[in-house]
Amino acid sequence: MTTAAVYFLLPEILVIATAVTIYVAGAFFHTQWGWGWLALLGTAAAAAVLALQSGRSPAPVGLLYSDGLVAFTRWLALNLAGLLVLLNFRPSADGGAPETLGSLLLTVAGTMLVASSQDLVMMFVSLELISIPTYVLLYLGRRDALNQEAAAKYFYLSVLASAIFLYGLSFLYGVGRSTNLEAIAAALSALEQTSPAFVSFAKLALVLIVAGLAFRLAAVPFHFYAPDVYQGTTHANAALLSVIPKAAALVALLRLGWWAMPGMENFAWKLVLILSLLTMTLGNVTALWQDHLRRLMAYSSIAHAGYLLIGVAVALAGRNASPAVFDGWTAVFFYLCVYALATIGTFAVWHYLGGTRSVEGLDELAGLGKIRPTAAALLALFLFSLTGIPPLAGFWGKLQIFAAAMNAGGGPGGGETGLWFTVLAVIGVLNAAIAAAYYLRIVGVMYFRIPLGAPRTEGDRGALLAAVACAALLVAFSVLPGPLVRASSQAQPHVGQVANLSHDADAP
Amino acid sequence: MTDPALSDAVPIFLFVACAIALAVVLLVIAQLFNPARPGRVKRMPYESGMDPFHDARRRFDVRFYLLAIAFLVFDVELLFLYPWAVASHPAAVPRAATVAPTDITPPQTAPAVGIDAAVASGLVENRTLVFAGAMLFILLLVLGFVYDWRKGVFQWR
Repeated sequence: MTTAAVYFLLPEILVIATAVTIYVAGAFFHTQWGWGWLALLGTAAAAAVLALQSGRSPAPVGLLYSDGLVAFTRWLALNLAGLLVLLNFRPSADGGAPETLGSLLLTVAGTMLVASSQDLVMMFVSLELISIPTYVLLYLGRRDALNQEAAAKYFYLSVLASAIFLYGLSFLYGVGRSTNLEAIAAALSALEQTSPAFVSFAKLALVLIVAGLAFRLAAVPFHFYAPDVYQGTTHANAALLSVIPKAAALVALLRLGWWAMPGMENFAWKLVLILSLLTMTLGNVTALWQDHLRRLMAYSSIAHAGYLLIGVAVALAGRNASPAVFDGWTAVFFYLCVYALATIGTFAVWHYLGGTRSVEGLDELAGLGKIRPTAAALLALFLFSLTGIPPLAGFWGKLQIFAAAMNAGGGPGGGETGLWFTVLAVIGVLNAAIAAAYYLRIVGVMYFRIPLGAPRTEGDRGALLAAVACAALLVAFSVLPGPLVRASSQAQPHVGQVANLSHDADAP
Repeated sequence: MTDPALSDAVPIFLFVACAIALAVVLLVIAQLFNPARPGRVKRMPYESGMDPFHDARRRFDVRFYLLAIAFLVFDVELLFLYPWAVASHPAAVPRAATVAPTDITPPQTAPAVGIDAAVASGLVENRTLVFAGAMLFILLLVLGFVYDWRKGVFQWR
């Protein structure tokens, strides 16, 4: 622990300090209003410090990384924090506004810390900093039986997933004989030569780690909690659940599987590839039957976890190849940003539409195009982007993911690996076509059906602002995807890494 | 064992087999060789040395739950503060005191231990930072305590 490390962690410290202030002040002042301003202020302060730090980023010692992946994740988390705070700006009728915003900021701080963790213990604690406030959020959301079920289900399964993840970390510690990721990577590289039989324990560790993180990603076979939990909670919580844990799990998966476990990639990409195939197919096919909006979006978020895993598989398979051919990294993080914008936007529009009671069923959106043309247009934009219709940003994201998989396929002469990735890309494209059916069904209900009732009560302006911000960013990235592609291509551990590249000298 | 994927997995199967075998063997040995002399005291459920005064399968007041959580936080606090207190103790002090004033041998520099060793090895910058970290930890717990108090956790309603 040095003053340099404290300075480096200042954005996270500011976010956590804001969260603590909101919690404690919320216990003294019995108002439900105004906490959103405080949360926005803290997020903005953290962003300002982060902007000041960039360019002359310090090289902290011990427990922290300060590479491109860290910088990208921190910016992504802070931007998501802004959108999610806007979404939670208006306190719910049940109260608990300070606790909601404080917990939200803590999950954001956890996401930021996952990327810079250079130690297994710190990574686990950072992931728990996301999980534990999420339990509180799920409990605070609503007060009915469905919500109780959602909170309990998420709590028990999340604890189980954490236990599985921790069990994997214990095997990794056993093989690497250290909790430091750099030391583990060095030990694994050496182990390849000295005792290859021992490496199988590293594979076991990898399977358990992938299983633990697959819960947070909502990837098959750890997806089954998602529909019930999303259905039972609020639109705002569902938006958080479908973005924050996914981003953190992706970063942790790439950091552990790609960076800290050299020599495992040939096993890892197969595992991730099969999970990806199952996840996107199951998510998309099951979503076709859903009539409940959040349940539908839960299956949609499962399907998108599958697409993201395609990029992870490509990145893993490309670990020892030239970066020009296999660019899974850029595709993953570009897709993650675009998916996050469209998903938060969708939930924000529904949150806005709901007044005293929230919009739940697909039928409630009937004729929305006539009643509320602006909201309907925004929602249609987000759904088209999730479908991947050109020229929206969702299309660029899918294009990059599938192009990366096709590149990894390597055409006719790709061999067995190439065949796998070609099959993956083809099934991915087929899945995108299936997904169009249920996204466009919502659009059809909005524009081609007669309104069932009177216009709903006006929702809150925070949610509308969040939706408009998502739409503006989405349109900007559709017209000019270049800046986001460049930013995503910087989100790699070997960009801006100051020291200790010894174990990775041959990789890109 | 010609399949490389299979031979890779042999250590894992060995590990699982050993884990199961150890559990079974220990139970069987205990069953075979233990002297079976049950008594009233031995059949008593173990409650950390306290005599149980009623059946454990009984309903508890849910209000105990909040108190238990609050207690747990401060229980864990001690777990962190004891090692910190021991590590921050400069071990050179008692040794220097034992040196008689007439002793002509130069006072040996004691090897740094605890936080001093961490500072010497460059793991932490200085002692002040460690102290600040511990104080911050306590401050966070106090803030949690204040939150509990304001929310009425300590009122038996």
